[in-house]
Amino acid sequence: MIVGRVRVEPPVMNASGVVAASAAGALKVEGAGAGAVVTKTFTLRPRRGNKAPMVVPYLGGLINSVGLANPGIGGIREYVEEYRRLGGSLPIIVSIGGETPEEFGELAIAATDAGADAVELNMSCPNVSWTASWEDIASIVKESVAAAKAAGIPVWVKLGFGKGLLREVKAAVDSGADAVVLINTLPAMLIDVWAMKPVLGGVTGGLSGPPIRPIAVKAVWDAYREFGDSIDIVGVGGVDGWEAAAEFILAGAKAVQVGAALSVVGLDVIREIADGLLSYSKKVGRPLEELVGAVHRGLP
Amino acid sequence: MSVLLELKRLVERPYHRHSRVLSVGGWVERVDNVGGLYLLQILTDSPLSPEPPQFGMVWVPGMEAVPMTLIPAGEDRVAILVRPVGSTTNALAAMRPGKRLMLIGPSGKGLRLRPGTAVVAGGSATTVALAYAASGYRGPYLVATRRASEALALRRLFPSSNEVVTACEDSGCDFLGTAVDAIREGAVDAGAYLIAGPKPMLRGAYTVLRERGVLETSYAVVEVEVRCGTGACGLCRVPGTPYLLCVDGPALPLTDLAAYLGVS
Ligand SMILES: Cc1cc2nc3c(=O)[nH]c(=O)nc-3n(C[C@H](O)[C@H](O)[C@H](O)COP(=O)(O)O)c2cc1C
Ligand code: FES
Repeated sequence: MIVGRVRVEPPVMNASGVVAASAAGALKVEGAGAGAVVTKTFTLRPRRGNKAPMVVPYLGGLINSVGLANPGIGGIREYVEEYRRLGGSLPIIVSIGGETPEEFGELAIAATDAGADAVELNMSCPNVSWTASWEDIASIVKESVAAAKAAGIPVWVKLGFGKGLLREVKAAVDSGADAVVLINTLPAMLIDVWAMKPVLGGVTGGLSGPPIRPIAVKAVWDAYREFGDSIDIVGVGGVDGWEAAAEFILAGAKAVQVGAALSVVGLDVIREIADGLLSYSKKVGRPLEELVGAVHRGLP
Repeated sequence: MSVLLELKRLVERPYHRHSRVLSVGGWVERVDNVGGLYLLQILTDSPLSPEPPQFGMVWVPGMEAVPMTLIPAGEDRVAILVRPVGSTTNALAAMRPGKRLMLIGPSGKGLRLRPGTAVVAGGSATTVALAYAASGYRGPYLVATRRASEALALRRLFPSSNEVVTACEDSGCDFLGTAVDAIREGAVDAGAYLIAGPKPMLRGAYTVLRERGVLETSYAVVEVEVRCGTGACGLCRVPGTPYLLCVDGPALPLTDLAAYLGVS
């Protein structure tokens, strides 16, 4: 499948920030049968992230307050080069998190110079202060995509669920982004009632896994209904098996990313999803490409 | 098989599968002082069933979580051995029965030992030996600490049928010297070893076991900074190796650790 100008075969990747924080993690994702790897989000400056506990299992999913722990812009080249040196052969999607459109531009150039196949602009992390302070995300999407496109490689935009989602997808379409990645974690928190204290080290965090799947499927369905084939969609949120992946494809996604399930179920879930999608497509007698958005067309 | 049966088989897979790692709270049932260390018996909200040397993230609500080897302690129970060195471990050591703490686990993989494998545990990793003893593994064990009082207190926690040799740097133990000295001198002789301890100890053991020709059958329990303990964040890479501690470890084949240990 060609997704956002990148060949992703099978159409299953890890979600940013899960397992592939280093080249070693990326190789595990490749070994598990993914069609591309997505790096942890790189910011301009190094970030230590929040204190532990920063990931708490919850209802078959996770709540995390990692807070974009990463080595900063300098780590991008090291990551991509080490991945290639160790024999990694998949397309590599470098996730970047700028505080401003200019920072997105700078990070996109670093990713391009390092040999990335695409950049994924993380516009939606609930665990950092700057995204919360953005008043008009759509216009920031527009400017950031424009800045990142100057680097020359495909630009994917990762958005979070919210009232303005379709406006933000439209901004991505209008500014010529190659794909939107829907959705990031949902803002969440857990309280221990005996201690009467927040459970997470970062106090609040982001919910992922099966509890958010119906919301993510709806986001993909909405975006496909509104924009059809004018932009590729990558579905992410609670994919923990092939049925969930098939739901996203039928709703309009060309590929899926898997986050929480890599920890909750294990890395093998990637191969299970890839194989399951293939048998599903055989069983229903249509290639996956034809199934993208099929729910809107009322197949069969 | 009919198409319908095949379809049913495909869809039959349980929709929500059992999580590998759980988040639970627990109540402290008992605290014992073991030669200056604190053994906490915890009644957990749901069973964790750890297999050694799996670990968990443990914390007092509101404080930072720290990784701790989980000692199996029967249904719905685990134990941890706390060395009070930082704020969380001091708070854990000060806990009394009836107090609540939080756990995430079990993290990493269990490693079933082939009979006859010697478990050599030193420093704060002596818990690994206790976890194996609690799971029914009979040894042989080598428990190495700096002070004899600690080793002798720990010795009493093993079932009397276990073969346990103690090594310390002052008198009173079975062997006078470090864990590495003890292996070199043959205080525990085996065809395979599981070594748990600080990095210099692992480095020393690596060299001795290589000379002995038993590197290929041996493992080390590695300690690196653990941020989430769930296998999600991927931030626990063991430097110089392709391993993530919470996914592949904490026990790793010694032969793969040369670069990490800095031995050529
Ligand atoms: C531990 C953890 C770390 C994450 N870090 C990032 C990140 O660095 N950048 C990002 O865009 N999304 C990050 N996410 C969000 C995931 O990429 C994904 O959008 C979300 O978890 C929903 O997918 P899932 O339900 O399959 O987990 C993280 C999620 C988790 C669980
Ligand atoms: S600390 Fe090991 S995966 Fe997060």
